[in-house]
Amino acid sequence: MRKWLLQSFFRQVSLILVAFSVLSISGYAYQNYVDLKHQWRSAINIQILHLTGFAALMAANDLRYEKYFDLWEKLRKVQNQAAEEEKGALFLIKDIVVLDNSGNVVGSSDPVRHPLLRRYDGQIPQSSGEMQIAGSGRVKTAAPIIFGGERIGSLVMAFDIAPFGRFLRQHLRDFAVYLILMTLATLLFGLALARWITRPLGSVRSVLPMLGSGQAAIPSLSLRQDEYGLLGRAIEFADRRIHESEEQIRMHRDHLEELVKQRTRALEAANKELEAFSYAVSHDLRAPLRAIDGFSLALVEDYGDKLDDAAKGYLQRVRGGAQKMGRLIDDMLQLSRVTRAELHYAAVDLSAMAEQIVHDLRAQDPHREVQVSIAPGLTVSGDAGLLGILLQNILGNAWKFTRDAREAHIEFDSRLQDGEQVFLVRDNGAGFDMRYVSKLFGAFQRLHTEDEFPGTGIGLATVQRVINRHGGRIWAEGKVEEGACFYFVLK
Amino acid sequence: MAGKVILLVEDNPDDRILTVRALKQHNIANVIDEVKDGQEALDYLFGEGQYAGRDVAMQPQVVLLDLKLPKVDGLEVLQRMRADSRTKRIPVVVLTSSSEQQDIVSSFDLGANSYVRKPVDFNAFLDAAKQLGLYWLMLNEVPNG
Repeated sequence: MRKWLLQSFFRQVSLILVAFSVLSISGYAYQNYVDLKHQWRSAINIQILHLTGFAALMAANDLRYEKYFDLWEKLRKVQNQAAEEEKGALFLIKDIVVLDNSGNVVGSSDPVRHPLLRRYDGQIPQSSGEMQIAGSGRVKTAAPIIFGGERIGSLVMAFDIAPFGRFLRQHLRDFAVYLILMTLATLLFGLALARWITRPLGSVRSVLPMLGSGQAAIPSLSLRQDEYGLLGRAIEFADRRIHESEEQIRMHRDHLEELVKQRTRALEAANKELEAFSYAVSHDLRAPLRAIDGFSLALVEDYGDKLDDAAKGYLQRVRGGAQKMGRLIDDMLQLSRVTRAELHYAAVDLSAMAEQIVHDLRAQDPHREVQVSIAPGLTVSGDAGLLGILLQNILGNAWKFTRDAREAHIEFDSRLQDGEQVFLVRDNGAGFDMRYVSKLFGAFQRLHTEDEFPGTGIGLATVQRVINRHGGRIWAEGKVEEGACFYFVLK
Repeated sequence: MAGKVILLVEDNPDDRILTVRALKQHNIANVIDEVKDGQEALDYLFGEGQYAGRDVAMQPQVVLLDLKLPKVDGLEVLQRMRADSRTKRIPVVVLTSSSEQQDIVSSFDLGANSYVRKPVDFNAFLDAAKQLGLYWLMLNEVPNG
């Protein structure tokens, strides 16, 4: 019921209207009934008291002079006359009895019921009073009979006030009918009113799904002058505003898409250019270097006997320079390849990869004695090519910087930290000063001079890019002359 | 040593000189025919153009092929060689100036037998020759005396 009511504003309004009208009408009707009953009862009371008093006055003479027949005659007439007026009367005279001062019946309208010269067998109300005989619909009144200023007896009248009860009941029935009719009327009126109040809400509801279309129109509301008119116009205004905003957003989006397309095309062109550039670098830039290196070597090998040591030293420096530039070109190309290569994810066995790299390092540098421990079975999901470059650079660095260490040691392992697998490569080589750790991964940033350790300063920048491409993190710890440790996480 | 010819396809004169020197220095006494671009290489192999009348039955034992060449590039030369029955089986060692993955992959796709980085790293070249079954190159390595 509660739910049924809460679901509909129409139902709530209807219920309130109907309840209010039924309550007010029945309240009014009840008040009316109570008043009416009271007023009529008072009127009847006065009437029957007057009637009794009047009868007592009439009986006084006959009682005084003991004209009992006359008295009887009169009493009967009064009763009969009252009986003739019975139609429409609210009470009936049942009987009239005259008593002398000692309480004996001396006159009666109905001698059968109250025989003469017998004691009155009923109750007698106080003089000039009235008493109700419970449950009988009867009322008795009594009045003193006065003659010459002296009380000579009493007159007792019994009335039947059942007609008054019938009258009241009839009246009540009329009220009930009236109440039912009024209730039905207010119900109809209430429903109509509720409908009239709530119907505009229906049109609001039907138009809401159209909001933003720019076509939501509620003429049934917006043309009104009242609050519903305000609501209707506000909704139409909101609709237009939403529509305009959406149009603008659409325009912006289209513009953005166009912009993205343009930028993508520009980027693709730039990428192509970069590739062409890389290709040119790898082929063309290298050719003169080869010539410089190759002919310097040819000079040393073919004409060595004609050159003194200084000349040979210079040629060695020429070759060194050419080779260094060759390495720089190689490293830069690798860096750019790492940046633009497409990633192919697969399970990569980093342990096996590291073993292979260390094997190659040992082959290139057979005189070095380095103790390398690689934890077995370190597997990760990533691009094998790029991860190869990563390990090549980190392990290559470890190899390079442990050159001067007594009992060089390199370790590749992993550990679990905060739910992540952290790989680490630790060495006991030259290490670095933690003050410069921020420069470690920048391109062309070096923490050692060329004389100390040769290098291009691109290796760790490349490593950083490989990590970035995999959405991972890399960081390092180090101490001068004690070693370095590189940690990395791959996603 | 008739017929034991090495064809060197290289446009860069410096690289040509250095390559020939490297081969000679390691006592490879084969005739080294040099051509300067892709078109010339094709003419040589098929006896056309300036090589019209060359006996194409006498084909080189191995071709050292640079990839970046004027007119017709190395990959196309390789493609044409592999498409022709006369040159289909000649071993081709591609000379690359870098380790550009794409070049190496394309070369192998088109039927290159091996590759060496320029200028000829002689040891790598010998490895390649060994794999190709060119024992004569190693025989020649031993000085006559």
